[in-house]
Amino acid sequence: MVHFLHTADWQVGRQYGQFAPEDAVPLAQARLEAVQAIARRAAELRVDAVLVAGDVFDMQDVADRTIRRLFQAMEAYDGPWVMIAGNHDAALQASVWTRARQLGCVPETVHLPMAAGVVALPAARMAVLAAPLTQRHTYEDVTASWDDLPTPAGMVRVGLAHGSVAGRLPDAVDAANPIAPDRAARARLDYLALGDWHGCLRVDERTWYSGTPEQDRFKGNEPGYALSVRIAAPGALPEVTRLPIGRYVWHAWHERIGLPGDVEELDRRLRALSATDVLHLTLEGQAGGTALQALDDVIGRARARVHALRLDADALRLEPDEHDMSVLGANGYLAEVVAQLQTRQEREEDGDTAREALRLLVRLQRELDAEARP
Amino acid sequence: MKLRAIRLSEFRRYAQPVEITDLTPGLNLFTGPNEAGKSTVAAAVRAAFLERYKTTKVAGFAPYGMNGARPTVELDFEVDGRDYVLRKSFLSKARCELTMAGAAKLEGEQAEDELARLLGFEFPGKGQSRPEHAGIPGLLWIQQGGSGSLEPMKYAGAHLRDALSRVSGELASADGDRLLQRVAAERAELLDARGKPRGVHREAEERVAQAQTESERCLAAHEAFEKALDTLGALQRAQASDEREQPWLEFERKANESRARQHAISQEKAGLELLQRERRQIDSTTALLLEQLRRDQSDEDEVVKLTRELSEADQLKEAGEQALAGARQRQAAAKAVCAAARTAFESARLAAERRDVAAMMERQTAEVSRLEAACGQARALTEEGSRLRTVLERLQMAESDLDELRKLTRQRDELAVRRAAVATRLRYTLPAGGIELDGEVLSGEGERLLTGVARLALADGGSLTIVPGGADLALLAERDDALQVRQGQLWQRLGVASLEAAEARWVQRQVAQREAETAARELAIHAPQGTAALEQSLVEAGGLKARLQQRLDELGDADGIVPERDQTALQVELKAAEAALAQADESVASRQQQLHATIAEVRQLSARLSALRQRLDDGAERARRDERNRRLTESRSERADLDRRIAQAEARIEAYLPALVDQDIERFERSARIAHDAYHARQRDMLLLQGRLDEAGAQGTGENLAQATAALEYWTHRRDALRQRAQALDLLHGLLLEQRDVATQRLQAPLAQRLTHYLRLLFPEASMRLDETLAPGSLVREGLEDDIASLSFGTQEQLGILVRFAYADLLQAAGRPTLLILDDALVHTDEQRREWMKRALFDAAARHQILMFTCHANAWKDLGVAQRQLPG
Repeated sequence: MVHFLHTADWQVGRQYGQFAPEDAVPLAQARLEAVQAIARRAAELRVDAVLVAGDVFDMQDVADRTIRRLFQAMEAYDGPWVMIAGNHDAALQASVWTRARQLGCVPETVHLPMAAGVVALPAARMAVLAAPLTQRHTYEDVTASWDDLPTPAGMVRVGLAHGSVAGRLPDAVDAANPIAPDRAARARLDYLALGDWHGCLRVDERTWYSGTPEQDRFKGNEPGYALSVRIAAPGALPEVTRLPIGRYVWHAWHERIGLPGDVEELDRRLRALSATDVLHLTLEGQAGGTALQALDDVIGRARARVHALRLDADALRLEPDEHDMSVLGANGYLAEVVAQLQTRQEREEDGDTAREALRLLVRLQRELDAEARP
Repeated sequence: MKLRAIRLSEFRRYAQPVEITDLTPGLNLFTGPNEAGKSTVAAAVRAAFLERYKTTKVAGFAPYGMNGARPTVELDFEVDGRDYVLRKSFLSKARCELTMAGAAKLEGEQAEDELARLLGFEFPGKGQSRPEHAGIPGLLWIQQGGSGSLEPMKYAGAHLRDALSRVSGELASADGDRLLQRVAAERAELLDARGKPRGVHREAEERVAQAQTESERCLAAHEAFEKALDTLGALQRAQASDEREQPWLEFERKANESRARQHAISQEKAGLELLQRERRQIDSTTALLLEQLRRDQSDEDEVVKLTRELSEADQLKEAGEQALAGARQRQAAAKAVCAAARTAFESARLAAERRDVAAMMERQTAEVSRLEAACGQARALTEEGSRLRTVLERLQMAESDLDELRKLTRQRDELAVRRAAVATRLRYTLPAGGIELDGEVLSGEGERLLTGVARLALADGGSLTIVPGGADLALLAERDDALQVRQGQLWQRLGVASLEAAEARWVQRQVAQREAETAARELAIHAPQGTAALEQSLVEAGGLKARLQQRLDELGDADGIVPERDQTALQVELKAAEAALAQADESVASRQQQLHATIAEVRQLSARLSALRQRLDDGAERARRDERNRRLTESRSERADLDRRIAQAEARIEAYLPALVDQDIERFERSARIAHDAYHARQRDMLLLQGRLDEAGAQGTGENLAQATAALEYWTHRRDALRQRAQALDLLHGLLLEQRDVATQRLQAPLAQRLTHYLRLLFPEASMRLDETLAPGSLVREGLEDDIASLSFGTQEQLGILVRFAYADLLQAAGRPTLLILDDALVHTDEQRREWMKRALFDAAARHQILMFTCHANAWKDLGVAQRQLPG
């Protein structure tokens, strides 16, 4: 029985500009925490090895400090680790890897093959056929050489690569770094550990994308896992289990407000979120001043509850309700302003501004009313 | 509102209580001179309503010089049919009481607040009432000189607007204005007066710009890093390709090929040179052979030529011999003629000479006799001297000669010894004799030393010539001969025949010398002069006589000879004969010489011819000639072969393109070097680049870029939100202002209508434009618009009053109390306008109570109301 963890796409060094710095910094930090979590899990499970299928770093030119912090984050598990370079951190002549070696912060138990070949782990009874990317983009299948690459008899044969399984990814249009869909069969692999796709994805019974262990974008393709892989013996089918690793869960909600009760429904759903959720909330439709006020309140509470909330409500139109009209209409020329804004919010060129102006008008008027009635 | 009565006490001009009652609902015109108390009444009405009773700032209300005054105003008035009594005392025991019909009396501030609400004004927090507090009363109660002032309208704006909205039914809501204020305030937080971002908005804009700059900077750094990475990758691939392919090896191989070609060329050239040398050798051999063949040919030609020449020479020789024989005959004849002539001439000449000599002999004999006689005496005297001189003369010899002679003798003796030693000894025993040795007859026994060639003449006429052998002997003989010649010369000179004789003579001479010297001295004593000359003459004469005698002896006896012919003629004949002979001799000699030359030529030609023939006919020579011919053929064939081989070799060399080989070598060597250099330069570049990349990487350019991009994204987002909010606020603000203006226009319609009503009384076609505070903005007459402030004082004054009438109409329509007080208004108005204003006043008084105070009682007589005098 060989037992190892399969992970990929750590993307250490990634920054999140769509959030305020106080929200973005923990998200960046969470990537290193995910690595720590993987190392802890590996140690707990006493796995034989951890395979990292590329894109460990988000870019070549991360700071030295970041490199050191990554290897420190791996300390809990003392190996062996097998890491390959992906497209973000390709094993170029001068790469983040050469710098890591120069810094002397790569532990001996971390295998960093800089070219395609076999990393034999006799103690783990497995041979890893590694295919690090030596260019950012290649249009050749770097795993092709595995078909004829021998490994010691009796060892489990595991492939480790980074790229797109041709024609098998949900919306794989990226033809760069292609990998043949039947590579596992052709290269007689017991398991093929892949990186690049950030969601956890089973390609076939022996081929998996582990996905990134810490979600980094609003794309609900099941990220946030590392894979625990058990193989009874060479030739046996792998037993793959998902280990939840990620801290933050990213949601991209596209909500339509219009019917009575929509705001309450949204509120109900938002109440289910917690401080480890990152939400991109896009609102559209129309709401009256009352609903809008309720919505503001609901969103305000959600903003306090989740880790980060990005709101995009440009498409939400205000349709003044009876109350709005009674307040505004009783105030002479305001009714005329409201009418004009309502017309303008349908306009292509400055509809957003008009919608915002209308929301402001209603909001301010309500505030004034509230002040007038102690 | 209607004032019914005004009561004053201790108020300014009126220290004593006065009362004005029976005020009419319409126009109340008070006239009186200056200082009559008109302004005091007006001021008292103002004070009663507008000033706080508690204020201490109204000391001016007290009558001049009165201490502890308690200025008090009491007003009876009616509003909306309800009666009010207001009593207000200032300064001392200040009080305020408002009594309303059917209601509890209000006092103090409560009373004042009710008044303010009722009339539409405000009280100041403390101190005197200022224009901004005066509200509607401030507008309608015109103080002295204040009718043109538009300021009070500002402070009454809200009341007017309220009245307007009531009258027009237009909802010019205070809510709307509050909202507008709020929007303006919110907008002002994001945008400044010029619409530029401010506050957080501006900060966001600045942060975006900063983030943009930073992001661009980071992007540039990152792109430089990426580019350097690409460059390094390209370099690495190129280097790997170089290492794999080693392009310089190909160049070096090509260079080596070219060098091999060069080597082959040089070898070919060496071979070619050998061939060329061989060809030159063959050419020289051929030339030699040709030369020899030519010579062979010329030899044969020579034989022919020589043969011909020889035959010619032979003919010449024959001719020459014949010519010589002829010449010889002519010579012999001439010789005979010449001999005869000479004989004849000689005979004649000898005869003549003998005659001459004989004659001379006779004379000389006489002369000698004469001299002997003449010298007889002297001879004796000089005889001895002469003898001695003779002796000395005979013995004359130089010691040096003697010494030489001695030496010569000695040398000859030595030579004789040596010659004897080597000489051929001829010993003979000739009993019969008859043999001569060099003419000397030898007989008996003897011995001779032969030092030279000796001839033995034998008796039978034969002879033996003995030539002594040995070179030494001849040399010795030669040297001896030389010495002997010298010895002979010396002997001859000394007159001796041997050395002994010479030695003896030397002794004799010494003796004779001494005697001669003695005799000379004696002769000098006896014959001091003439002796020598005389003796000389005698000697000479004797000598001559002897010589003559000798000649005579030689000539013989010629007495018998008689000359045949004249000697001169004979001499001519002789000369002619001799000339002919000479000619004949010369002819012979010439012919002889010619013949000899011809003979020599014949001999020479024959010799050459025979030698040549001999050689030509020699077998070996012939064989050699054939050999030469064969060799010549051979050489020519070889030469042709060599020509062919040379052409081939040259063609081979040419095929190597020798002119390009050196260039190829240089080109390929250079290419190899360049490729090699490029490889090393690339290595260096890679190291440098790697270093730079490491450095850039250590700084984390990518991470910086990601952070900068994130910051830019964040701030752009925030800025966009603020910008949208600002735009929305701006839009809202603009719309609110716009709509309020529209509403105001609608609102102003009733006011405008009232204004037009009054304005027409003065300016039939004019209209007035109001500003947003409802104050008159400009007057439009006959299409021309004049700002109010630009009009004359008089006009401003009139318009100010008309506008107030309009306001009063409006306020009244809105249910507000109206009371107009005009204190000395219209002072700048001309008579015509005053007439028009009277109409307006009269019209307004139909709706409003008007208190008018004026000092021009006459001017206002026709107002239709009684003029009242103020109490004194």
